[in-house]
Amino acid sequence: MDVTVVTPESKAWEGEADLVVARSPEGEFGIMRGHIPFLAALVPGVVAVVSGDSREEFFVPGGFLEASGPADDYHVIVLADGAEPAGEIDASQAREKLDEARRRRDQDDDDDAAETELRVAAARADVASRS
Amino acid sequence: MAQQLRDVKRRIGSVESTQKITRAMELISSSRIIKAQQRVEAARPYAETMRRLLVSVATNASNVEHPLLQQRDEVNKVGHIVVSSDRGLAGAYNSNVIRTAERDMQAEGADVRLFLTGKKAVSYFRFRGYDTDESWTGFSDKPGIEDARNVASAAAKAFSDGEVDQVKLTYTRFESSAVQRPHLTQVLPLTEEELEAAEEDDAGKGAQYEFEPSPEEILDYLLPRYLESTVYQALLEAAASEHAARRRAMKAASDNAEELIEDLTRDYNQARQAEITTEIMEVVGGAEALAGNASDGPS
Repeated sequence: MDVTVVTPESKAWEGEADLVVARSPEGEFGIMRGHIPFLAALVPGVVAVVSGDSREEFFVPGGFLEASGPADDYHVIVLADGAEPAGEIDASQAREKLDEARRRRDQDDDDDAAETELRVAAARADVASRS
Repeated sequence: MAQQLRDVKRRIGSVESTQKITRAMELISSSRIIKAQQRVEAARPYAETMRRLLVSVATNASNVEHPLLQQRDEVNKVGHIVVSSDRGLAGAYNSNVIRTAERDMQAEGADVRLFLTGKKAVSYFRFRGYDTDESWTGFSDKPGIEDARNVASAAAKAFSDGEVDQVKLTYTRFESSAVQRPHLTQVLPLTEEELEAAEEDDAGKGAQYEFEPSPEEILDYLLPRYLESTVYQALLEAAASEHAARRRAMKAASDNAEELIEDLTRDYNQARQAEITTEIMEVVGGAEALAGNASDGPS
């Protein structure tokens, strides 16, 4: 199946794959060819594109995933707010960002934007520490 | 005489150095148009997919009620997003887009709240006594998605807080490298016509999706992103238009300088010739006077 990862600024990845794994507010899910048409919102975390033995991982701060099409022309489109190859995240820099986001949130508990930012930074630091 | 020659020479020199600058700016703009166009192209897949998803979700959601879709019965205050450039020397680029927005404000007669990008719009509206607190500058020639997010979220917030009842967006559309037109469009509330128009684009693609979470919740995530992507496209097209307008303005300036140099060179040559002629006359006159003296001399 065709898999495309697009961000507002450009296409981050495009190619053939067997499986896409991502995470929605309801939990992790995987999509393979022929899945019924599916549309999900994504929470901050990793989108993994698997084909054979190779596995591409992207950190995505949020976005959507759409899967549909006939069996012989099935496609998955990941509409990401941003996409960063998971292996390229600098762990110490990610932790610094997390601390900063935490401070900002603590200054103002009602700030929704700071809350969201903190959640993204936490997920990113988590991804960085795993890889 | 010699004074006049020197003056003309100095003017030619100054026009030539101006021409060098305008020519350089013309070349820089030409190369930037191409890059800006590529950026518009690169952003297109996201924008198009976004639009398609929005339609699928909106037609699947049981009750499409979202703060950003809410039509207000009475429009008392209109938010205007105006996209201009940070730097001038781009011909009528800024005045065209600003005038398009201002004409609409006057025609509507409602109160106005401004969301401005680019220094030119800020200084124009500030001079006319508008409140220009909500403005963003420094990226007009190379906007990023973050810039679009800031503008879009400010406008969306004003709309959902009820501070404005409508949001319009004015920017310069890049139709081709020869044609750029100011374009005004309503971005909030999203109108049903707009959704229907998008639906027609994708006739037959209305797949029945399984949603996770519910369509209503997805719509919650989707609408702000859709607005961001709309603003981002506008910023990118405006940047391409800015470079195209600047290239045209600088080409006209270089051509004018060329013409001016030609005229001045003609003046210079004429003056120089006149000086030479005068000098010859003086020499000839002097020689004749001497010859006359010699023949009249004592024999």
